[in-house]
Amino acid sequence: MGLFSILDMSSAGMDVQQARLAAATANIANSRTTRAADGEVYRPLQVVVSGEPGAAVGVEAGGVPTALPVPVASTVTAEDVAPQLVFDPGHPDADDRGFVKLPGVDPITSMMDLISISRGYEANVRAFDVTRTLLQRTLDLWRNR
Amino acid sequence: MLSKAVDLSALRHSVHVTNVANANTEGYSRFEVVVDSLSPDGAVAGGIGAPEGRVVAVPGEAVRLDEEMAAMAQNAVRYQALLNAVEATMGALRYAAREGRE
Repeated sequence: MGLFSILDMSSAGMDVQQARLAAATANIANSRTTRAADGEVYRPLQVVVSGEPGAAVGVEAGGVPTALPVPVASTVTAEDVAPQLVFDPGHPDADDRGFVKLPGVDPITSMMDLISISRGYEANVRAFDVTRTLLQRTLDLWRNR
Repeated sequence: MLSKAVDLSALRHSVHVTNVANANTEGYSRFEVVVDSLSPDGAVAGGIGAPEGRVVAVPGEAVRLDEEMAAMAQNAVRYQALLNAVEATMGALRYAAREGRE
């Protein structure tokens, strides 16, 4: 194993950030959706990232192969986020007391997530770039023979 | 000796990349490379040994992107410096192989 397979690690990291971006933008876009596909109030999406040792990139460390975990994102609906109750008696989806259930999407948290996603993606791109430079420099050893 | 050092630097880079990629992984604690022994097979007379690295997890320590990127940049410079040394060694060997003629 060398530097080549570590490029896959960076792309897995970018995939994770893309999944987080998709979930965050869907949550922001649906922050006032009172009728989702099931007719109920929209439930925010959440991304759970797990390190998969099965797909791990192996490295030889002192003769002992070490499995480095590859991040894998799975998008789930957040079950424990309570909907916001907003008083709006004129709304078609208001209950008999005049309250409408809006998704529990916190705009401030969503914006913070976007910043964190952007930084994370950037870091993975940068890491990819550094790996590419190192590989290029290694190949250049053969150029000046 | 030099190639061992290049290998160690490449291993360090792999570990930094892994930490950056797993920055949002649940329950992940960062990995690092420790150099705790000098491999005996690479030993040169005078007790100079080649470095041998080992990947270990640091339990309970989350990934900090800024630290990881700084360490990665530092290691990349070291890697390239080592490649320069390899190049210089190869140049000297080439010079010798051509019996001093250019």
